[in-house]
Amino acid sequence: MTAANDERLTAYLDGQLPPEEAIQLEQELSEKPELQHLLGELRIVREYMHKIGPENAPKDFMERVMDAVDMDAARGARRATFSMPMLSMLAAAAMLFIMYGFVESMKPPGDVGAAPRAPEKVLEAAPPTKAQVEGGLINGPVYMAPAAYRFRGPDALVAIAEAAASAGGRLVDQKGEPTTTPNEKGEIWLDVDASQVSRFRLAMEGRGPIETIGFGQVIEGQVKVRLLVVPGP
Amino acid sequence: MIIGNLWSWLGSAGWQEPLTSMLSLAAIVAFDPDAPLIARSRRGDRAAFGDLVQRYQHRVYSICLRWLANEQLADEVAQDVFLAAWRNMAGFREEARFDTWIRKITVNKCKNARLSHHRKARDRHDPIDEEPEDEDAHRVVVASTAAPPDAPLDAARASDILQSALARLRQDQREILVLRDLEDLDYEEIADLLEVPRGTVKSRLHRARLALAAELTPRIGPKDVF
Repeated sequence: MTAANDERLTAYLDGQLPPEEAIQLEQELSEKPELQHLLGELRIVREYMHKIGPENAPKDFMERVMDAVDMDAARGARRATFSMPMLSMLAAAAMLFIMYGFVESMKPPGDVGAAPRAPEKVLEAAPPTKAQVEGGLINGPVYMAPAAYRFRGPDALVAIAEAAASAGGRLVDQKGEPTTTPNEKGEIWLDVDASQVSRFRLAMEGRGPIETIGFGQVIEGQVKVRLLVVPGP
Repeated sequence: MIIGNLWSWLGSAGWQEPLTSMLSLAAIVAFDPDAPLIARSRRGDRAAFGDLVQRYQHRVYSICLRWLANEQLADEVAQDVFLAAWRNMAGFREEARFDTWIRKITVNKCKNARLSHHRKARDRHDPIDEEPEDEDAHRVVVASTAAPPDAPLDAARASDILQSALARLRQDQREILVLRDLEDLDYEEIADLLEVPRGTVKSRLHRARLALAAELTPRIGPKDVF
């Protein structure tokens, strides 16, 4: 075994070597100068890291953290305000859907003259949970998450560009080419790392509530989020 | 003697276990300086959480910076750590220590950020060198000249030299050095956090220190340490 391969040196320095092995190593150290030299170098490296200690965070770091906390708290308050009416609306929609299904099932089969119906679209993924919707994108391999947003107002595009930059993303067209102008439908896409979409959302929430207009299955990694820009109010 | 008898009597009455838990919790609250701030933060007290951020910001940022070797990414990840802590304060168990909890969040965020950063580079077809990793666009820039042999290093320069040397190591080597030499964790704790056997911790740490020694030895000497 060469001195460099002798892992006992590191364990010895850290006090993690069993006593009997430590005694044996000390014996070898007294006989082998190259082992002594290497131990000295490893000790310097270890002490150097200890001596330098932690790096200071940037001066405005705490202020930025607390801004993010405030935005998060404000979002929580808005959720609390609007959650009950939204739940009522969802419950009403679900009831209508069930009634519609019941009426349809009561119709006799093979109506004459009825146009052939396209097969029903099957939802392959479960709808998002409340926590997923509220929390936006969360860490995980595959999950349902907001995948399209609508922003209104004459300054929407400028705000989007700033928020995209703050999230480390870029604005692109449907083909993925960088652009600053939405297409004729008002659509533009945010090409961003999935973990940073929540940062984009936080930045945009400074302008007001965000309208989520679509959900999709997101795989962790780089994602394209559809943004619909409506210049008017 | 009297206390011993009393303790035995409590045991026979089935009170020993709950009393031990209560005493442990009381000891944690009494000796953990973070305990009052945690209790207030859990009730949504922003100022108390601000005090916790102030207390831990340098430590969390430092882990992120040394781990990720990228200032911009470290800043973002460190912010995410505190935001995650704020969102999950209600779920924090008071019998745990806050520093252990925040470290765990930091390590997980760093792991995820690294994976995501790697994937992003791969998706863009950027070249990814395995050893050493060179994809970091915002790597800390450090003067390349060696320190004069007999001039002791000032703190800022010493820190820059260390950061530069760490940035040249492999990711797994940086991780283990951060946990051992910055966070002062023992081998079992590191094995638990990195989900590797204890023997792997030992060998990886040895290789990491050798690699760091190769980077640092031309620039520093015993005078900079002792």
